[in-house]
Amino acid sequence: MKKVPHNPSDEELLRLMLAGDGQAFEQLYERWQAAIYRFALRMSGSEPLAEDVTQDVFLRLMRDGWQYKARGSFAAYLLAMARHCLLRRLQQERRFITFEAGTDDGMLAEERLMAETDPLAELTREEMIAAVQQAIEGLPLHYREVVLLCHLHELSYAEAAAVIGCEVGTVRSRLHRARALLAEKLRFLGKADKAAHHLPLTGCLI
Amino acid sequence: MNCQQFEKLVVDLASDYLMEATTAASALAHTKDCARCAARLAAERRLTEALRTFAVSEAAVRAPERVRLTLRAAFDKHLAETAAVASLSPARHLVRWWVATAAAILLLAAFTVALWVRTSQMEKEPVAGTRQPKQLQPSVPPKTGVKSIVEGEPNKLAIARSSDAAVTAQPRSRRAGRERQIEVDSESEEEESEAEFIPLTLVAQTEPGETEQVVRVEVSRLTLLLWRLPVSAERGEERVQAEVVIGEDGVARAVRILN
Repeated sequence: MKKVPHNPSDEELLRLMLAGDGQAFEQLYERWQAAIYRFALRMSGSEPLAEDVTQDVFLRLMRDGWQYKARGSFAAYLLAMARHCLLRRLQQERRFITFEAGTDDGMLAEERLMAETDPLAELTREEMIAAVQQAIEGLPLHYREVVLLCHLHELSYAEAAAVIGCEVGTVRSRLHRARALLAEKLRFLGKADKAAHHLPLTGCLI
Repeated sequence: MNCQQFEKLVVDLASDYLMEATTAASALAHTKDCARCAARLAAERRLTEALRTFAVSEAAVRAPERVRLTLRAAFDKHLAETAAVASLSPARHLVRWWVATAAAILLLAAFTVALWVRTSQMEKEPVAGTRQPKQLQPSVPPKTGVKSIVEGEPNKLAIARSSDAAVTAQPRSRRAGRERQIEVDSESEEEESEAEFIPLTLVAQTEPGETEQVVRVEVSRLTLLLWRLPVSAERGEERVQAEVVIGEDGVARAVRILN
């Protein structure tokens, strides 16, 4: 059996794994399990579900991994698989959070949030992390996933669009609104200049 | 750049996403002139920083060890199953291939015969009431030869069941006054051995008045074996000629091996 190279690419590991190389499987798992698990965990807020999704993804990789074409990034391929498994399981468990429009009412939340003072500004790092996690988990699912993909997994807009199966422009606009909602939830952006807030947007077209 | 244009760029700017240097410079220049947009950018940067802090804290989160163990067991099982399939002897692979090929040929032949029978029936329809002898043009295979079976004549077909009871010859068509005339390659017929037609089990019985066709086909011995006909399996790939009695529904009723 061919030995796994020292620093193999994901494609190489996948090829070896599909050829029956257990070491390649272990390496591929070690490389990607955390990302898949975290994505599923933060999307669902459930550890058992995140474990199930992680298992599903790697089982599918064993079975259907040969279908992977190296056109897109491997991360996007795996996360798309994870997203699919997660949504299917959420539907099965009737815990599906609908992809409702949320607060897409045209008026962006930053206009409201900038009026607020910042009650969380003095929080410790741990408290802030907990607050951000809570705020992310409180987002509607279609906003949550773009925040997780673009900020936690650092995918580009194009990669995130490939994972979700939508246009790049959709990712961009969802991320914009998701951030506004997050800021509103966190309310720690109140250090923004109050005076500036009171300037109407149209009064500043310079 | 104005505030509306800036608003479209503020997230990318705060997240340090790639953008044209001139666009970024223009947006940053705008913040120097517009206090509101400067505050917007600062707020977005604080949010980005908070998200990055959260992302860093998430780095320690990983799937429990039991997930890895479960998956490793599944991988080993999957590997064992794959190895078991691969270890099948080449002979068994060959047999499978031949069975698949024979089945495909059989299906193709049955489809062609059914099509031919149906076409024949459609040709009969317009001349209802006039019972004329019909010339059948076998299409598969090209060398197909068929017998002439005339109502009322002593039938040469001895249909023998593979079980203990032998069934004596019966007219293959009971339609009154009906005559089926089928072209026969007389030369080849003389050379053929006069084997008996063997009914194929598990097929529909011949209905009274049903017209049947006898079609000559070329099939492998393996196919005949699949039909449970008494042929040698040693030369399974060898092709033999046979005549098949086909009912109006296109289903084979009986078969006879010619050589």
